[in-house]
Amino acid sequence: MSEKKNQLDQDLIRQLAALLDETNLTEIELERDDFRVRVARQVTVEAPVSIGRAAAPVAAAAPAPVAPAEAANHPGAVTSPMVGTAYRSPEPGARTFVEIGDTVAAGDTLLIVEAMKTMNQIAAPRAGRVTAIFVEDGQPVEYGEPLVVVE
Amino acid sequence: MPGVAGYRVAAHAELGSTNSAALAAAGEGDPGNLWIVAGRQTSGRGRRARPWVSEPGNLYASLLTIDPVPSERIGQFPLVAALALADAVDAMTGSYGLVRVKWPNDLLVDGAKISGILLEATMLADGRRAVVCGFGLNLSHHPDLPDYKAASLAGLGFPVGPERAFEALAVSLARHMTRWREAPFSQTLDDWRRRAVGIGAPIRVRLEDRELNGIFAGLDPEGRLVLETGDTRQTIAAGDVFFDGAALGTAASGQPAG
Repeated sequence: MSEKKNQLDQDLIRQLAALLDETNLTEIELERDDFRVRVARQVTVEAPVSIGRAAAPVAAAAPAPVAPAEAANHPGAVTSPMVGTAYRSPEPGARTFVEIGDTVAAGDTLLIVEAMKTMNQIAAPRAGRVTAIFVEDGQPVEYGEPLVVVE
Repeated sequence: MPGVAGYRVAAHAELGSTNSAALAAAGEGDPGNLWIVAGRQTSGRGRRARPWVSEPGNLYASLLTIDPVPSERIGQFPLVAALALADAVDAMTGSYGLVRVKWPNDLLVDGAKISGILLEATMLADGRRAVVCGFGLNLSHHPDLPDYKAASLAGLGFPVGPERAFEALAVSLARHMTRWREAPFSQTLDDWRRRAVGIGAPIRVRLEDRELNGIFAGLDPEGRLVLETGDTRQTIAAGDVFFDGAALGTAASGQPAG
């Protein structure tokens, strides 16, 4: 991406973020030709500043076409049921629960999302093949963020 | 094993892991409020599958709950569990206020860790959420680990058997679960704060990708840790907390929150 394009993207995101505040919306998604940007914020009642991607109104904004944003609408997308940290293996250095191309049965653990010290097993909602994985081990995830596609 | 009204108890001489057994029971349709207790675990584990030494003599017990509270409140469970275990230890030792809590769910006596709590959850096929709260309590022995101090109740002068310990925990947790469901969470928080170590002290919080230094300013209404750094306050939902040993007057430095 050229610097100029990058600057334009940043400007656009700033404008969208301002619009987000102005309109009191929680999410704006804009799609134009092959370009897509989503600006979202986590609404927390307390937290003056909270850790992770919920840090600021524009924190969840990505300055590029966002594959996961499209994936969220994918019929096979498995999304995060909570804000937390995603783990792809049961323990550090261990084999991952799943990799792209794996076949899973309904109920198989795809990954774990830890929130407030609770390890939440994210299970495959249906049998199928894992065609996409959007998170890395230890990555913070938002509520509703697509994690994996099983189709 | 004795139980408490409204709860069932399945006691085993030996199991792989009480948490795994409880999750499996949920998958098989158990309605919840089921305790799984084992005399010994052959593959006991802590957070991120850290092995948990599980030889006979200590308490290994997991409670299966199904949707214990509305899902947005599940994050409060670690504090409820820690407080329930702390009250139970008071009751089984007869030494009230013996135990202090370290955010979010470790129990310390004189800065030494005496227990571990592992919470695991899974969504069931019908959309309900099974939440398993596993307790390991050092009654007669404790692991000697290089990175932090541990203790057992026997070593502290309180010989307590697993059966007696379980009974105290079952009674205490039932009471705390009822309060959690029915009363404002602030009641649990107030009790937790009274037992807390390190509020007002400098701490280090290890997150997945970095560390933060600041003052442990307290808890927010959801039980998250409030860290003061300079003139900003940050709310932390998950992380390992390390104390400056000197600030506590103990050897608790470098102790992972497990």
